[in-house]
Amino acid sequence: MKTIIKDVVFLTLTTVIVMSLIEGINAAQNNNFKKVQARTAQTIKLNKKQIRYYRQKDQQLSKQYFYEQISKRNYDIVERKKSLNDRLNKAFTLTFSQTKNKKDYDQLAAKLSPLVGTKFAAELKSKVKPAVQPDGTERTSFDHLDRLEIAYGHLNESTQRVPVLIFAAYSSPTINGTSTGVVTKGTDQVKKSSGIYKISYDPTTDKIVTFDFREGAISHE
Amino acid sequence: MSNEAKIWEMICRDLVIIGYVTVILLGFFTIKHNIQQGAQDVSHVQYLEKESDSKLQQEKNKYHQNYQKYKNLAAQKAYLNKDQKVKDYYGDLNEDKLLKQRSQKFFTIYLSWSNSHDYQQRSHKLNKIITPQLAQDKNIFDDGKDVTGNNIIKNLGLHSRLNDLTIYSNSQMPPGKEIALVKVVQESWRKGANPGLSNSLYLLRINSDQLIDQVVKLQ
Repeated sequence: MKTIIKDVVFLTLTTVIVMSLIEGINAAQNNNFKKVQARTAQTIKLNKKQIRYYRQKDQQLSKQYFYEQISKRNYDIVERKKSLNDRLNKAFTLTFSQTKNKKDYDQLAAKLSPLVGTKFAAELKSKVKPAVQPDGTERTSFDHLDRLEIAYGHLNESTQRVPVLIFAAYSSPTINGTSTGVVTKGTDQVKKSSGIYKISYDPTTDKIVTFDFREGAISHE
Repeated sequence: MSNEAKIWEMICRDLVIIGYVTVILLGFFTIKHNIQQGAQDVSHVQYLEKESDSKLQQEKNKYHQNYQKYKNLAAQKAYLNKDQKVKDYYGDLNEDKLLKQRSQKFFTIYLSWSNSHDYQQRSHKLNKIITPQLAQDKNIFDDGKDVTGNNIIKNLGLHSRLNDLTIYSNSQMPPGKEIALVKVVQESWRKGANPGLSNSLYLLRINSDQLIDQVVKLQ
C-alpha cells in the first residue's frame, strides 16, 4: 500500500513538472510572438505613413510641378552663367594680363572685388605680387593670360550651390636670358604656369562662396 | 497478503505506469503542437510585414517612374513655357546633356585599349562623334610610338581603361564654343602587372554640328 502511495505522489509530481514545462515554453513563445508582433505593427505603421507620403507626392507630379521649381527661383541660370563667365574672364584678364607693375597691383583689389567678391579678389591678387626680378627690376611674376576655361557642374539642390571649375594658364614677361652670365637678348625665357580653381558658386546671391586652388606644372620654354 | 490484495496492487502499478506514459506522451505532443503553432503565428506576422514592405516599394517605384516621366516631359515641352527662366534652364540643361554624352563616349573609347591595334583604331571608332580634323590631330591621336619609332604600347604590353570621369560643362559660351572640362581617372597597366591610376584634365569642345572638334590635355 505504501509503494502505491509513493507511486501516485511521483506521478502527480511528474504531471506538475510536465505541465509547468508546457506553460514555460508557451510563455517564452508568447513573449517572442509579442515582440515580433509589436515590431511588425511599428513597421507597418511607418510603411503606411510613407505610402501616404509617396501617394501625395505622386499626385502633385506634373510638368507644371517641375516648371514651378524653376519659376520660383530668383534668378535665370543662363543669365547667371553668362554674367559669371564674363566677370571671371575680366577678373583673370585684369590679374594676369593687365598687372604689369606695382601701381597696377595696388589698384587690383579695388577692380576685382566688384567682379568676384573681396575674398576671391585677394586670392587672385596674391598670384601676381610684384617681386624684384633677377635683372633688378620690380615686376609681377605673370603678365599674360594664355588660356582661361570655365565650366559648370551640377547644381546641388539642397545647398543651392553650383561647382565651377576654372583652368587658367599664364606666362611671365619675357626675361632676357642670363643663365650664362651674359645677357642674351633674343633667347628670351618665358616661365609658364597653370592652375585649377574649384569654386562653389551660389546663384541665388550671385556670389562665390568658397574656392580652392591647385597649381599645375611650371614649365619653361 | 491475500491473493486479491496482490492483484489489486498489480492493477494499481499498471495504472500508474499507464499514467506516466500518458502524461509524458501528452506533454510531448502538446509542446510540439504549441511550438508549431507559435512558429506559424510568427511567420504569419512576418508575412504581413513583408507584404507591407513590398507595397511601400511598389508605391516608391511608381512615384520614381512618374517623377522621371514628368521630368522628361517637362524638359521636352519647356520651349513652350512662357517663363524665360524655365526656357533658359531647360535649354541649358539640354545643351549640357549633349556635352556630357559626347564626353562620356569619347573618353570611354579614347582611354580603352589592350593592344597597339586598338590604340591606333581609336580615331576610327570615334569617327561618328569627332570631326575629321580632330581625327588627324597627332597630339590627341598619336601612333603610340616614341621619337625613335619604338612601339611603346606593343613593347610594354600597355593596357588602359577609363576608371572614372567628372564632367563640367559650359554651354553659355559664344555659339560653337561650347566646352566641357573633363576630369579623367585612367587605369593603365603593363601585361601581368598591377594597374595604376592617373588623373588628367581635358578640354573638349563641340561645334555647331554637335561634333567634337577639339580636345586638349590641359593637365
